[in-house]
Amino acid sequence: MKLFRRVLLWTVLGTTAALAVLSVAGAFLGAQRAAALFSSVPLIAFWILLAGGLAAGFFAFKRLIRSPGLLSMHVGALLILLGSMYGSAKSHDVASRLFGSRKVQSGYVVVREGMASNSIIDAEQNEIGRLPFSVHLKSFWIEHYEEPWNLIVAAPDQYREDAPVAWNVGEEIELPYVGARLRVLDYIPSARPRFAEDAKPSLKITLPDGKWIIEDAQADREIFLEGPKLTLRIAHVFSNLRVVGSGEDREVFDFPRPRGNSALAVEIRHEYGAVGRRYVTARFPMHGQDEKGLKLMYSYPEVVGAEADPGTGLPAMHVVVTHGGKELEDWLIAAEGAGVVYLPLAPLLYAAGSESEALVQSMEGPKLYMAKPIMPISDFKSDVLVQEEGEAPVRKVIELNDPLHYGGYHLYQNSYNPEDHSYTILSVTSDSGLWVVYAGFFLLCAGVFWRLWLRPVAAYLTKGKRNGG
Amino acid sequence: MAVKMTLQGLLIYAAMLAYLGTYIAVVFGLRRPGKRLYLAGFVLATVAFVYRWQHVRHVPLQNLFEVFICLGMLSYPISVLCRRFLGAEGIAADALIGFIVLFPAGFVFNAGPQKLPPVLQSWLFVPHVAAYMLAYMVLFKASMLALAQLVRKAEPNGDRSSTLERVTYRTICLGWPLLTLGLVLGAWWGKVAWGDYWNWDPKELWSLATWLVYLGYLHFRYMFGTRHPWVNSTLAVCGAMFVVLTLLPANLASRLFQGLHSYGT
Repeated sequence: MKLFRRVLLWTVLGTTAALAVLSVAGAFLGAQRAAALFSSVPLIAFWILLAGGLAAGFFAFKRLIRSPGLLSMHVGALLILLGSMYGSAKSHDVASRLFGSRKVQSGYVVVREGMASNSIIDAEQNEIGRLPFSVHLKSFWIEHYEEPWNLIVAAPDQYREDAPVAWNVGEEIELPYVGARLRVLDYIPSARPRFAEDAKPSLKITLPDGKWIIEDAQADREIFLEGPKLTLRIAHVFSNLRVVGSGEDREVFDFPRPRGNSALAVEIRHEYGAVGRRYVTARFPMHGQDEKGLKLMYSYPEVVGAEADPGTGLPAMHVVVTHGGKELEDWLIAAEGAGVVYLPLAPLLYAAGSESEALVQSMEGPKLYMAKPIMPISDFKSDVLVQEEGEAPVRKVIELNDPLHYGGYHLYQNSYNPEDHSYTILSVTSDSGLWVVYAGFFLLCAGVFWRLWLRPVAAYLTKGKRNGG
Repeated sequence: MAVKMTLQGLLIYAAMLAYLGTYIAVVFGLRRPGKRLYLAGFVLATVAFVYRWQHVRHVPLQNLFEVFICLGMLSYPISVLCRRFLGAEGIAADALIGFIVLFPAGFVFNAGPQKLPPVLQSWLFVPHVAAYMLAYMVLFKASMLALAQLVRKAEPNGDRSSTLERVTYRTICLGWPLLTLGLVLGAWWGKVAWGDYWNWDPKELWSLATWLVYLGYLHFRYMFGTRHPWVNSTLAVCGAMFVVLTLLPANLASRLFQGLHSYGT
């Protein structure tokens, strides 16, 4: 027995050293190859030897059974080994061959929004099994950290780069390139423009018979007309419509700035299907005359400031820029669909006159702009409904660090379609052996703390300093 | 290598100076002023940690910069604890460890605040990292004691050497449970976040290897007691070297150890 104990203890030291060396080797190999190494046939033999050695310890060393701390930590270690061996991919493989088990150890489920799936695929997208239940994706969304928008001075020429400025509300700072000073008076993270006399931007449609209707001018609004039979849709709201070129090469885009050329793009769909598009600007109402006698007028009231509106998610910034005794005060209000708002600085830096005005109109010349930063992702979530046949459905929002446990599997938020977020990728893992491993974790920790912390502390408290820590 | 001319940076430098002052004072026999300086360094490091906390608005243990400030803060309480309850002397060495762990925070790591990525948003984040930080500092302390034992081995005063060996053992008995807890909490969190309690990730493997070195130490010491003190002490020093290897390269997103733990660049 003495020899057996000696051999066993040396085996413990040997296997511990071997496992430490293998772990370091695995760290150099990278996770994928390390996983393959540790589940190879020689290593399976090693794991069995390790578990066997631990089990033999209980027979050879009575202390391991008599001391609750030692018993708990060694049983814990054994349970972790056995549970993880039972839950491994190899063990699932054996179970499917010997007993026809259909449980898959791990894989992925890809579900489109509004659809359901129970197909488990591997990393190469081959089907490797089916879940005993279906996963229906109600919706998927990504949440971002809200960061204040950046304030940037445009480069004066092509040889230099746009310069971001570090701003704080109330602080005065020097602007690079232009030599002016800026102070941010206010910043509202989610805001909407405030119009003079509480008016609203509106589209006035005058019909051929002289009757007219007024609609709120909001993107995607549809208006159905009876005579003539037409459908009007506000396709886009421009804060500063700019047109470059003419004919086929004509390019229409938004160059947002305060008091710019406010305009609407209106799609006109005829009864027989033809679609036309008209641009209606607030500044030049005559442009809105249709050849059929339909008259469109866009009215965009004067903006006098901004006010908080939690619904928009678009910021507004109140700035004052000073230079050479002159002052330029304005609101930069982000508009839907535009990640940037410009503030032309020509009126501040140059003498008032047609030249300065031309620079503002053309959007050339010195300017400051507020731009949307890259918002770091704070979370991504899948709202799913899972249902096994004949069972009550379970609904849960799966996110990172919050998986769903159902029907012998854990379902995790793994990834998503990066382009349009139309599908989610959930990873699924079998829960076989998991509770054994968890019990092992608990017993290991409990035993170690009992033996090395609580027992000496108790001894210290009862017998004084004799045994120490 | 960059000097941080911010309040955050200055707090770290002040704490480093205090720790260095402690070391010099104690080495020159000025124990009492040394102890006071050590306490001052601890207060400064704590202020640096709390300042960082309110600056980034989450427990600052996300990247190596924050982790090393935390390590610097833990130096003092661990020293006091070990001195009072385990009979482990060595204030100079403790203060030196504090100085060494603050150095990379002060001069090497990027202090840019980072938002918590989704995977780190879990209640297990703080206990997992905190258990490891405490364990590492205690085990560093143990390795210093072991080193002292190895250095004094040749001296005729054998008593002192065997006392050091015994204190090293007690210190490891204090640190190893924390190492076990950190490993188990990490595995549990891995299951919740990634789907598996073990992913064969380089950092996981390094930390397992570290845990195993101490496991080997405990079994060896059980087998032979204090008959081969230099083997015990060598294993203890070896364990601390594994801690350094776990802590640094695996976190630095190096090409060699790319893995799931590469947050702290």
